[in-house]
Amino acid sequence: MPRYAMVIDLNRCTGCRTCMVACAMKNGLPPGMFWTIVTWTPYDVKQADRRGSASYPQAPMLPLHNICNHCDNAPCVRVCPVGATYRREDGIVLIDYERCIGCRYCISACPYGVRVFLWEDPGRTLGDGLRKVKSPYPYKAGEDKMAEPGYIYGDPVEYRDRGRLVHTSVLKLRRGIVTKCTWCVERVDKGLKPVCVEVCVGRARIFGDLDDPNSEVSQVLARKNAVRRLEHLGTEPKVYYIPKTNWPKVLE
Amino acid sequence: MASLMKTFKPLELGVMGILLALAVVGLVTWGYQISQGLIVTNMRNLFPWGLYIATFAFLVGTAAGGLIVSSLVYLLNIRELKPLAPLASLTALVFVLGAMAMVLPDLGRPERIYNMILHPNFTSLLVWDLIVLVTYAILSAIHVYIGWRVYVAKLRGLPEAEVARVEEESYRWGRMLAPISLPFAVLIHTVTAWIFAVNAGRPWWYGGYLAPSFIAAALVSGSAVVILTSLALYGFREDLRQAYNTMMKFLGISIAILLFLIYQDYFVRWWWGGEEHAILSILYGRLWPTTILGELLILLVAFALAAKMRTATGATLASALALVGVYAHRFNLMEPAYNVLVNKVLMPGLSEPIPVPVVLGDMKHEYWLYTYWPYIPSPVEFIITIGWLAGITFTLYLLAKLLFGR
Repeated sequence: MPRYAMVIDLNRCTGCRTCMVACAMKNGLPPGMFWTIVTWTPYDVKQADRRGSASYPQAPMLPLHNICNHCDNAPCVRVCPVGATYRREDGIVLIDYERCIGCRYCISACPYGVRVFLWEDPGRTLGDGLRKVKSPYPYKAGEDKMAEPGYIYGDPVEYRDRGRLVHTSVLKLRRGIVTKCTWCVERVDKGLKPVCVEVCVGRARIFGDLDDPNSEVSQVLARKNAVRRLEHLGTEPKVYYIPKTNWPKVLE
Repeated sequence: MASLMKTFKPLELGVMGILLALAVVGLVTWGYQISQGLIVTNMRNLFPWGLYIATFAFLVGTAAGGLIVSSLVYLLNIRELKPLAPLASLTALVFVLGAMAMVLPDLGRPERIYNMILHPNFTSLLVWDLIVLVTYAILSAIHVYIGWRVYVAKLRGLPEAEVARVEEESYRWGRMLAPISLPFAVLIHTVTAWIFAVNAGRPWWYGGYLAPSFIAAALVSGSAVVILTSLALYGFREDLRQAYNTMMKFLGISIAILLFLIYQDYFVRWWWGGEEHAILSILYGRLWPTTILGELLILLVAFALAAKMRTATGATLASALALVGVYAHRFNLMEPAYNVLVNKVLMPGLSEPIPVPVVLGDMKHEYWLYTYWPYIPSPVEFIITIGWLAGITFTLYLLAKLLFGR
């Protein structure tokens, strides 16, 4: 049984956010909702305001990644009252969309803030978002002038893990349940890599099997110092970050 | 029906009509919330629990207080509290059912609640909370029945020997049940506190302090509700004077214990500084109305009234203020947990940890990545919560009147 892990090399990340966009497109995420984020954050925090923005040259910036850590000791799996969130033997933490009751205990328990709740129907959020940017193409979920009638963007295929619905286009889901990154479970089961890894222009994201000494993740982790987030909490996260070493000089 | 209506005075009918109307408005608003989704609340991804769950904790506490009072009567043999024991059991029953109902508007998919029974996950404390709450409801229903039998026997005008026999029997049953119901009364609020206290990622909740403080809050709000119900039902009667005095003493001591527990915790956090200071700066900054006015001043006034003013006004004011104070204390449960972020990245080369923003979850705000969410309950949340509280008060008073008020 493999034990999957992801490595994010911050020296290679250009902060282009292709991973965010590809993830949102493939999973059919409505505007404003992301399963992985990359933000340019000033690393001198005193200069930053609440949104984490500051002006040049006071603020040397760092691309900051957030993605589900698929913890070995996941608090979300422990607290879910109905067992909708569960951890597979290969370490991927999934949500059964047909069982979740929407109590949001898992969001309270997750220290990484990676879980997103569907506060309203995703199609409606999509409409709101497009109205907001005053899109010249009035678009409702499921009807696109460029596409066939009834087309909904995102992966058209439902994927079930032992009968449990764990992947579909989020735009097809109804409000009131929790979703999060699945590490593209339907691709991983076919032997492919998650889309964010596949599309990364600088190959900053690496995905593979920790138990296989020849896999790229094992090789990289053996060579370089990697850190994991909030390790002191004992969640055993499986996303490894390789810290930036080539810091730019702060302009005086 | 007509004879039933006659047991209520016009003023009572008016107040109960208003309560019922508020409850109906709450239900209709819940329907609106179901039709729109939880977007109509002000909770978001970085603030997933708000007023509903705070109210849930408050109601569980009030329920726990009820059976603690009534089982103390049997266990410690406090004779002057005996007339209040059935009422205390009834408040326990109504409030524990109300607390379970309070979770429903918080759910994104209330229609799937049956999954809690079909697929319970026993590492989740919500499942254990459901188990102890249901057991507690059954226990308090039995206690209500025990008290009601004596009341009915007296009401029917049965011969004195018969009434004495029923009373003796009920007392024996009560004594047998009390050693089970007292631990459960403590347990429901302990398990409810554990729901929060096990979250290692939330420094405001995590640890062993929460459960004892929840029990202290339960003693305050539970005894306050018993006093208020009894005052509304029987008034400040001469033969109940001793009972009220004891309850007021109990209320005062509970408030003192609660304030001690709250402020010893604040002291430790203040002394250490750092993250813990961030918690205090939220409590004394943005949340000052609930922290300084609600939790401290109102509880202190309630304490002074409970200690000094042993009159009808004193009892009413002390209990009402104690309830307001505990509710304010409960509201403070949420914000310092969510807005003090542990979600930070500290890497070699960084001078300070960087907070990681969280996706907000809607398109109604101009930006979608936040590390701080100034939560104020939305009108929908307020209306639903008020509706639920009104419904609980209505049910409690109706049952109290029908079972013990004639």
